[in-house]
Amino acid sequence: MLYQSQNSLSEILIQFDSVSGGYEGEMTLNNINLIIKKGEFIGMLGPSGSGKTTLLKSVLGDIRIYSGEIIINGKDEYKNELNIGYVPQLETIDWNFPITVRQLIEMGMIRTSKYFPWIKKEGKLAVEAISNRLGLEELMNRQIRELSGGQQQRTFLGRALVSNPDVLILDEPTSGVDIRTKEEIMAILNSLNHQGVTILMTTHEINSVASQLPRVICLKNSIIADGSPNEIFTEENFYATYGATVKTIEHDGSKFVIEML
Amino acid sequence: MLCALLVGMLCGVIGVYIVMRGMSYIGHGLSHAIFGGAVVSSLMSINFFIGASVWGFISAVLINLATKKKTIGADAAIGIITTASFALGIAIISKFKTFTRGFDAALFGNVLGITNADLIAVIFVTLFAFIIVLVFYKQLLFATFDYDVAKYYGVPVIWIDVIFSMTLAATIVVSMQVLGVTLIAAAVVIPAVVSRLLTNNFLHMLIFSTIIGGFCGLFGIYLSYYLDIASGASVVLFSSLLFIIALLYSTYKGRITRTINIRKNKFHL
Repeated sequence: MLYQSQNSLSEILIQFDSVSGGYEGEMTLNNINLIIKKGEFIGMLGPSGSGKTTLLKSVLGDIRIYSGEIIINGKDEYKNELNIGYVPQLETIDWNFPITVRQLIEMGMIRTSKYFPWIKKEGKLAVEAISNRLGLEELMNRQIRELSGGQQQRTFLGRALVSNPDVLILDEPTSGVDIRTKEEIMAILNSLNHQGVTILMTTHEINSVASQLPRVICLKNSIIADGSPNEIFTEENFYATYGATVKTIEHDGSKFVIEML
Repeated sequence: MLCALLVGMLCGVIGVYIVMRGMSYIGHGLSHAIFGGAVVSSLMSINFFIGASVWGFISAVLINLATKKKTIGADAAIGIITTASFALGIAIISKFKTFTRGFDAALFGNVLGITNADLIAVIFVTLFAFIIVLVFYKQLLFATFDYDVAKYYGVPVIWIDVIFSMTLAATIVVSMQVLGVTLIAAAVVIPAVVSRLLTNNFLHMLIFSTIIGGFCGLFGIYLSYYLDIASGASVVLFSSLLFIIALLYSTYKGRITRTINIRKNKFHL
């Protein structure tokens, strides 16, 4: 199934102007020029260490920028007031932490009720609403480690979405889950995108995830290719991104990649 | 008795955050570091509580900073910073022989040596710690669960670290006289671990750990009096006994739950 971004894509939300940056003394991103418009659904492809997560974190203001600038919602990155929901890689989560689905989703309301030790009434209503929207209402009192892969991903999506963010940033949301869960996660993201949420995500899965997205960026410290999968899924681009030889085939209007081992 | 009860409760509540952050060794390390600070403040004729607290706070911040560097493990960072500070204390004592507080009491705890000033300090730090835990409950929970992501959701993680380090340093300073440098770590860690074995709810864990810590402080001191042993040792031994009971209980409960689940599954089949 080929996902389509929502219709009106005119308003620029995030703009990278010749950005080079990274972590302490390390230049992971090199001369990035990128425009992300409101309502887009973008996937980022690239080998490990190519700067995918760094690019996500640069939107969150968590990297050192050596040159260039990131303009978010018309303002300098560090002064931006954009509400961003972030879903980390689930591999980094401590699943033995004693926390329920409800408590985890409530964490997403911390900005709106930061001066109180408890969640305000509006916050509780928002938590209920998002849990219903993501089909988590029956699981609210369950420990997060008791959930299936798809339920865990939906719970973390709930935390990111409960404060009604303008942009949703996901770091490999389909990593380590089975085909059915992957399909379920992608369907939820597509539905959220159609409700107006701008989505920026990283993935390692070229055929099952990236090929279904409306816009894909191939990254290897700098942008190798940027466009629809049909435009940028070429043998040259994959060689430049991964240093690997692949074949591309077309099926049912979509382009796919065959690894040549 | 009041002092032991409060110190137990204080260590219990702070211990939950220490254990869940995977920094159980910090209590042990920081108490050794603070010992160095206590000796230095004694040499410089600075008030014990002020000197040791400032030293402890700086050590806690340094440990926190060092653990954020991915190339150094938390255990190595704690080991280097705190042992160096402890060694400094020992070196000063051996050179100037100026440490006015009982050396044995500082190492192993002596509740009988508690002064009014010690008790007032314990009451003050306990109140401070409970206010911090109540006011910053959500922020502390988020930063403990997922430090790296908490900042993206607006949690001021650096300030939370500073406040927590201050509270932890103050906890260890005021607990030193009752529990002793060498035994504080166990008093911080055991109530939290016991409560973790008993519940899967973070808030309940905080409440249980506070109650268990206070209970261990109180009964540990009773034991210390009747058996004529160091107060820190008796508190820790009593806590350890509770840990063994909780471990047996959770293992037994786990087995029962598994059996029930297997029977349920068989029934469904």
